[in-house]
Amino acid sequence: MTKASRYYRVMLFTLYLFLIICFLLLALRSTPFDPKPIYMGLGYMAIITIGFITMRIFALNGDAMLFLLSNFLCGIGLVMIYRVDEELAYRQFIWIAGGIAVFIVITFLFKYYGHMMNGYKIIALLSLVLLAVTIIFGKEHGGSTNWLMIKGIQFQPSEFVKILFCLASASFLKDHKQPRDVLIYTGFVLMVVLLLFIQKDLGTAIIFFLTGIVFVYTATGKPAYPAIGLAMLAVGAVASYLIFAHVRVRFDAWLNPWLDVPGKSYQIVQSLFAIGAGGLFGSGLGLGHPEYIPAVATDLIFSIMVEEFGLLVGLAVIIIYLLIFVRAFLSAMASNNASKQLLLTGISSMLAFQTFIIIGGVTKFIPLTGVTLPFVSYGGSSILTSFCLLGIMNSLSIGEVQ
Amino acid sequence: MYEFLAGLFKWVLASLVYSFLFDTIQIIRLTGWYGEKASACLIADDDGKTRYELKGDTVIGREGDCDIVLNNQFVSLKHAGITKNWRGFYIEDLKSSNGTRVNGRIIKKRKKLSDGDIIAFGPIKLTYRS
Amino acid sequence: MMKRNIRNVLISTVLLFSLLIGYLLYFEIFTKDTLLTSDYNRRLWEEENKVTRGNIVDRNGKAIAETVTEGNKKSRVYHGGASIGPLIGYNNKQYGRAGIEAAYNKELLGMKTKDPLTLFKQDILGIKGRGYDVILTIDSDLQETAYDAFGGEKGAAVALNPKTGEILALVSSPGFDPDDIDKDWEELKSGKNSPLFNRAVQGLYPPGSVFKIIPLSASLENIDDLYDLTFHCTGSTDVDGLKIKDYNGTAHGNIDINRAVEVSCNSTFINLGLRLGAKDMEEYAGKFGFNKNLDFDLPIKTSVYPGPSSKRELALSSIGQADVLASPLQMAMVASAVANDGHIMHPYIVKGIADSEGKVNYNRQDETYLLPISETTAQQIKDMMVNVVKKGTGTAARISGITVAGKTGTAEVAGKQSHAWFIGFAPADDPQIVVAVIVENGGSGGKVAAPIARHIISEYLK
Repeated sequence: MTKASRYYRVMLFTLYLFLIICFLLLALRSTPFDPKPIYMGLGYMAIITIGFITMRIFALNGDAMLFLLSNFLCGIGLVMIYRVDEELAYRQFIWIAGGIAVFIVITFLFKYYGHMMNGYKIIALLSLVLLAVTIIFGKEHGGSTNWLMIKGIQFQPSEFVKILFCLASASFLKDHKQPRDVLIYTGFVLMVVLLLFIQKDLGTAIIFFLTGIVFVYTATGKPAYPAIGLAMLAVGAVASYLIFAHVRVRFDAWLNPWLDVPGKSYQIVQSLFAIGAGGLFGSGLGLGHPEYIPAVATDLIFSIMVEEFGLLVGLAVIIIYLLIFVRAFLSAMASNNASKQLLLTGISSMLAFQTFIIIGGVTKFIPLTGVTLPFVSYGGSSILTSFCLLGIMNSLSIGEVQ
Repeated sequence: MYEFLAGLFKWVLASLVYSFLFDTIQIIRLTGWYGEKASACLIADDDGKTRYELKGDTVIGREGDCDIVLNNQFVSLKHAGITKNWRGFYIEDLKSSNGTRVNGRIIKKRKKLSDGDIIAFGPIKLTYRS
Repeated sequence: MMKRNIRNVLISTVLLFSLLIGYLLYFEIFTKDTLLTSDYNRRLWEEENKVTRGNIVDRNGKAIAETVTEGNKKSRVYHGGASIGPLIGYNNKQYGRAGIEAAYNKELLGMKTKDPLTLFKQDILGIKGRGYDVILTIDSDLQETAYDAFGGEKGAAVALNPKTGEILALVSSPGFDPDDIDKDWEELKSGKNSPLFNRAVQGLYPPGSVFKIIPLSASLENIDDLYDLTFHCTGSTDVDGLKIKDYNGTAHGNIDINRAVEVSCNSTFINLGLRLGAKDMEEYAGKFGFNKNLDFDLPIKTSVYPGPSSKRELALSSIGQADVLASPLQMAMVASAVANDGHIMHPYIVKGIADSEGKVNYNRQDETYLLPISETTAQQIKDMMVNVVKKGTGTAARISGITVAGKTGTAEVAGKQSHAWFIGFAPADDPQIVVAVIVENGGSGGKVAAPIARHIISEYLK
């Protein structure tokens, strides 16, 4: 066994130990000892094991790393979700299982079928259509109308569009880098942003726009483009502040949350209290107060995580995310294939922006917007999409090993 | 009572998380950011200096096409192959004329390599290090 | 090459996240401690529920806010209805804290240290028992009477004991009943008449003629022949082109200082103000407490006398207009200087803190806050104020059998009805109570504010 393999084993067992302790604690929390959390813990560990073995069997070198990192995030997320709402945890479990399957399948298939994604026109069109459909038939949930109901299951098409967007952007920009092409691309990005804006999904709109900037810069290398892009963002931000009341509310709550604590800035204030109350080592699993925090299982999961596990764990989580993103960027740099480079950079940036925006929002670093924390937050669409994107990244970086 | 337990274990959990992080960094140090670095290699026995890094599937033989080229008349054109899977590195004889030996014994089917194994391709010996 | 671009993206991402990590560490080390003691932090509530909150009682021991325990449940009950709302405030999980409940929160919870979290962590085992009781100087019967006198109109009243500084009643109308804070929150928050706002200490209004005590004091102490002067009032005074009218344009004719005070002649006081000059005016305003930060049991707004920068401003400020702003508390202090031989005693609401056995842990001592005028000046002004009530603008404050001294004020407000003011005290020879009343946009001080003051004083001295 190589030294590295040994470390992988250790990592795996550390993860198991962590999960088991957490679920044990959750089981002990109810006065007649409740065995259900233990089953969930064991179940999840089983799924991780199956996934891990599957990956090793197919000799995927070095990428058990991504698998382990993402599962750690899912794991700590699952623990928090169970602690907050048992029902949601069962559902999240299913989503994670599905996500892992998606991850493994995509890691393999993308290698071979990846080139089929070159039809950027169709993909771009599909994205816009999906978003438009959401606007027309969309159901509102938590302040934004970006949910679709099909046969009793709620999902967010905007999540799926993330995948399409990256594929379309990469395949378009790898060959078309002239200013004229950039203009066309910008038009596409703006349309996506607009459609998202109509759905009141501001956070996701910003993510798409920033990712668009990264795609353009990576493809062309001209700093003028990100400069113009950021300027457009600034102008857009100011304009939407002036026009839309709900933007004003978010922005004002960010600047001075103490003006209307029981009303408009309730979310961010409670989030700050939770983060502060945890201290460095947390208040202890189950000893915090998620009931004070709205949307605690989805957008604000980071807050309750820091309250109960402590800021040190929170920082570790951020570092884990960073490792995933940096790894993707470095493997992009090592590649010589333009479309691989673009895709890797773009997808990694998209996830990075999403992570940054929600953690930043929840800590009042930036205004709070409603996006999920990848892998950690509850949300079927979010988990599946994140794993899908991760799988694509994984698939792209394997090639570099040989 | 539960408060005491939860309070106690929070230190444990935080350490586990950081241990996890530490392991990740160690793996990155060993195998590179995306697993590109070699985690095992073959060292030439005669001078102890020549190192062949083993990354994935490696073909060893006299042919110029091979990943590791051994210039010796007793070495077949395609002598042996080393494959990597989740359990480690395995060596397999590719129907060579003189056979492949691991630690003196001729191998008939795939054999798992351990640190320190001496592999002989004819007269040429290479040590496996991980 | 694209590699270079990707490298830049990588560096930017790392930088971005490093900023985030730095911010979080900064938050943890510096910002969070002050943040956590916020009244809105419901975690503190959880801890606090382990302690039985102390009661707030009036000067006679009657409970105004008390914690009632029914079996396992504890609830906060208030006595006094809408009259006590702005003063006592509330202590609510969702809406936070206000009033005395907020200002003396730590005492009510029996906490001595500043950081509630460390304190509670030290006392993990068991309930701490009961917090301290806060004893107020307020007379709850007087408080209710004073409140009812407003009949729900916007306004405020401050009643205090000039010899000690104890506040007998602090009324803000319309008020609210803290018992109903949960039920009525939305209404109260957006209420047109701002019932949650404590007008008595936080309201700043142009004082109008009640401010004339200040130029009067300055004149008495700086103009030797003041009593011999004759003022010619034509009902309107021209200052640098600005015509300032007397009330209703009444021309008072040729009058002396006594009569000028009785009828509240603007013309006279404008002349006095111009004669004294901005420096003296500002000085005396400061002596009475304007522009000074008063250390008080509740959060207050400081009354302002902005130094006049033109003759017009000086003229207008002498009659309590221009940008002069006073709170009812401030005007009560002005009156108490006159009532108490020139001494303004430091006003206070909290008399003492007692523990659950009734043992008093802290007793407020009376102390002089300001000494704006001499005893002689005070007596002189007192005599004039008695005449105001006897035969001047303040006759509506007359009480049979009691000599009441007072000063009316009708402060002009641009575009709206004037504020009605009255400040006064009784009995004039040995004052027991000072009252300052304002009815927002109520009209004439003599007609609207004086009767309320009369009601309060007569109730108290009964």
